[in-house]
Amino acid sequence: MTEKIPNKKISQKLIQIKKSFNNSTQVPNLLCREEEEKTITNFLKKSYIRLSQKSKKKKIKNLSLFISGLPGTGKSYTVQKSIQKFIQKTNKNPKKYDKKLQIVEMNCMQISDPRSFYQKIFKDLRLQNNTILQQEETEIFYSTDDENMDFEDEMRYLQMKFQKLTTLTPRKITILILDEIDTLSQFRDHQELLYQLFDCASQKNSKSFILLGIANNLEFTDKLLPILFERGANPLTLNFTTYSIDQLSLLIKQRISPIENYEEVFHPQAIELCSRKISKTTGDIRKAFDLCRECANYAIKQKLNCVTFQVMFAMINQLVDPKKSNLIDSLPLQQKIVLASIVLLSKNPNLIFQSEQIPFDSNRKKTKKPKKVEHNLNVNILRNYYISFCKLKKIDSISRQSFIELLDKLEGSGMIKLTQQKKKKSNIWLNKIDLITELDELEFCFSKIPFLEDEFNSNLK
Amino acid sequence: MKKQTVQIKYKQKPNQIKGNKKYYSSVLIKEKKKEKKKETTKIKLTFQIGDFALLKSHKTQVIQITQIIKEEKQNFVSGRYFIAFNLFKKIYPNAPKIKSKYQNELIEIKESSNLATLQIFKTEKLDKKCKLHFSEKKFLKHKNHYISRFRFLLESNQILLHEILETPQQIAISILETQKTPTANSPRYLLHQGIQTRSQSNKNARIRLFNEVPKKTNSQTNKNSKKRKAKVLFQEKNRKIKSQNEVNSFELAREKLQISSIPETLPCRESEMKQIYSFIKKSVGENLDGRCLYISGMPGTGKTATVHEATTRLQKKSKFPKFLLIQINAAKLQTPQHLYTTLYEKIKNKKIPLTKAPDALANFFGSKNQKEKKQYMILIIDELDLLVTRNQKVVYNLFDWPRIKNSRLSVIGISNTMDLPEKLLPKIQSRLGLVHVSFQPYSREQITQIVSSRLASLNIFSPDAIELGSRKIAAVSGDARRALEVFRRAIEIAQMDQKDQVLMCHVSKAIQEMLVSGYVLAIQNLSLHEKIAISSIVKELNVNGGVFVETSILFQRYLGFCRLYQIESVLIPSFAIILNNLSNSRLILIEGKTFLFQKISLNVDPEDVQNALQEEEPFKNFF
Repeated sequence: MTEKIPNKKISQKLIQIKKSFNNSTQVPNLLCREEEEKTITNFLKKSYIRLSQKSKKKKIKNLSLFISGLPGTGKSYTVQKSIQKFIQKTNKNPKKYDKKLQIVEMNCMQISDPRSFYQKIFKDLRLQNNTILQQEETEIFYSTDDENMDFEDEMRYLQMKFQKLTTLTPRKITILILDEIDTLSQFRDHQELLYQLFDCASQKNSKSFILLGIANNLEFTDKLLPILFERGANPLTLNFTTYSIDQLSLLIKQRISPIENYEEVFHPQAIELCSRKISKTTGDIRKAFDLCRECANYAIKQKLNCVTFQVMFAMINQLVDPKKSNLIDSLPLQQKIVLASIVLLSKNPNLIFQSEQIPFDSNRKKTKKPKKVEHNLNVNILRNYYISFCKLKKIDSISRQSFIELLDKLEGSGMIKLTQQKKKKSNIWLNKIDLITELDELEFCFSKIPFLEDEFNSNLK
Repeated sequence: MKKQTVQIKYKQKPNQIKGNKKYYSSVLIKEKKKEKKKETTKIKLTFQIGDFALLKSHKTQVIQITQIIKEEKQNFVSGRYFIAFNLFKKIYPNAPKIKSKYQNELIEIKESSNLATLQIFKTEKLDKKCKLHFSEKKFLKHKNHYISRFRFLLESNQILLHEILETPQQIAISILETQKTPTANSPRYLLHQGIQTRSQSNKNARIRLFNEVPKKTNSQTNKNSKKRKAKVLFQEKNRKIKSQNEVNSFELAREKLQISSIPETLPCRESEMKQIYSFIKKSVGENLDGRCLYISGMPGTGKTATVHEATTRLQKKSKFPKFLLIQINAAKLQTPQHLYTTLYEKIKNKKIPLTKAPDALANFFGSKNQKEKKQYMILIIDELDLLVTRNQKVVYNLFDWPRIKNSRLSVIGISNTMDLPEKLLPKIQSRLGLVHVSFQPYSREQITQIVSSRLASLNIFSPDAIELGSRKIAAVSGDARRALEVFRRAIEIAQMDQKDQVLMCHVSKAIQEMLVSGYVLAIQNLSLHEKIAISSIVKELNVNGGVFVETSILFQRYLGFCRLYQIESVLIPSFAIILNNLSNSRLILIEGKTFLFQKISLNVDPEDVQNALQEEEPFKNFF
């Protein structure tokens, strides 16, 4: 028993580990993304040189970079880091890089309409260069908007201003970073907004302007790139691949490495398991950190010495792919019965036809044999089957209204899905029912419940 | 209710203002400015009795009116308006007081139709000393009008109940006749109780209020000859006192079972409570920001109540750092985008236009200014699933703010759907995190525990009754709210039966009322031909199977039925009316436009129809 009581040191270590997995903890150096970082800094360097017109060689075509990758692959973070590095570089070599940089960061999810997008950029720039402004710039920033302008005109006006700004040759070079850039294409009437942005950053127009776009979906690049290619404004692209197993485990170790002898508290096998599991499913680093944090939390609560393989395994089962068996066990009895009858009906399509034929009189002889087998399971059929099932088991059946209510609840718990039929929207009783959960899993669960045993065991045979 | 006019009369310079209810407050203010100089102005406001419902929906305007009255020192407000006002005060206790000139006099209220006269004595306390007078002749003449009128009065406010208890029994009973199945909490039902208690006592005696405890009387009489009589009297009185006490305990139990009375500790939710408690504690106390929590569960499983309890517990702790608690119910927002404005308003106590709110919030959470120390904030969003729009921007921002460094915000999302995180975009999923708390429906034991903990000291339920009720509820939904409702209704039924204890039969009756559909009653009260029509639909479906019946085939079967039992059948146009009536009451569903080829399907259980009509004459042999 003395072994089980953890030392104060160990529990403190566990708390430290938990804190280190927090979302906002900063890590000094980037791991596993060195190449991507290099390409970004290279791009920045080249475009900087192009803009400052020191060399006339055209190494780089357009001053825009498009970064894509799944969520949790460290895109935003890498961009931030590489820009920081680049700024440090320019500060060290003031002779080579004589122009100053200014950075405008924006998350496009926060923008509600295209007009506010421009307004926000202008506001940001104005705040950064309030003291030193050229004459043309002041004209752009402080020209008062006409109040009577309608929306379309105002958009055009703002675009004009923006284009003017990019063609100027000011003292500073602007880097515009747009996170979640794909949301800009969702403004229905203003899809050209995105193309104009890339146009502005193209070789002919831009004199002070570098664009960095970040987005999740790869599909977006397929749609966007051909159009940009036609316009001659196609950006460089950079894809962030998902982390591999080794990379994930490296990243996790990097987080907890500041703590001495972390291996005593956090077993390497556990890290290995975690990284394997996450890389198999999504490769999302945020999820991996969450998982590790929860493990540490669990260990503290249970007063364990360390996070072992078993702990990690248990937490994965609980959090990453929770099994529905617990959920089914906790369902009320009537909901279980309804779910069971759905399972039975979807297993044997013949039953569907029978219960459609015989509304409620189960004693009637079966005169017709089913010719066509319909695979659509609707509420009415389910209701009929449910009543006959209840009679068989000698359980009180519930009224129609509460039956519908019950189906809604099952839909809410993510077991089934109800879809309206196209022609008959008003009639609830013809709604189609689909099982979302796995049939086998449900059958396994039901075969354990005492009074449903017979049905499912006999069916399995 | 239909007349929404307000008349304002000045004695010196009579002015009449008629108009829309929206305008009358502004008009009043203008009038006030005009009349300020004159010293003696008297406002007479005439209202219909039903107008207090109108007042209820226009709270601010009424308050304005009262302020005017107050400022001008008008203590002269007549009849109906005064009553309306008193009723209004019941609804909004904070409304300013006004006095009536007729304080100690008799106020006569005539309805616009002059059918009823309502007399109110000493109107200081409306609910205790008021009386309704009706002449029975008039009543019988305009029976229907009275019934509808009373229904309205009853539904609009329960205070009027005591007045109506004074009416002749006849009226009350006829009201009850029209309403066969009183619902659990409806005033009609309370009325029923009142009449029963009334019928016990002398008809001429005044009605006693429920809470009024009768005075003890000197029952000791010395005369030997009357000893027996005295004994009997004494016993009777004792019985009365007893029953009164029981009534009180019943009332107390019913109050305790009300949903709105939340107990101090929630039973059966200890583990979830711990999880939520530690979540808030860590995100505030240990300075871990960037945390989101998703809570899911069926309705009535105590999600919101548990979160409330956790927060109040932490707020009461003296050593714990203070935090700002923000609760937003997404169902109360006009659009999902209004989340920004309401959130900003709650943080900074300032209003902000909808277009500027997202930027302002992003600046607020993202400001790197270390100097201004932000408060810790816990944001609780109820009904989170309503915020999910097509592009899911609002939800994205909601879960993105906690991730910003130094934002000191934690978000708790509450919703019914268990698989909401799977429906969200992957980029939001990865921000939401892995920690979910799911509330399972209550089991049988848990419901018994909840109910018995609420009724701790009161011993009016037999254990079997609680057991039965919780079993039934746990089998269907496991909804605690439903359970409380059932038990409340059971108490009411037991009160009606005048039993000392709530027994199993009462509970099962309550469950029947709650869970079993009212269709049986509806079918029993149909007209003969409607009954024939619906039973022939059942028969048709029974014989030929399928879901639909075509109208032409149904009509054939209907004619057959009529011929068989020698009932005069109706023609097609009236048959169409019959079907229309049935579909209006949603007993059947009709699809299609051309009458003869309409598809008709049942919206009730065929068994219900059978049960309803089994004992009636022509249908006995039909099924």
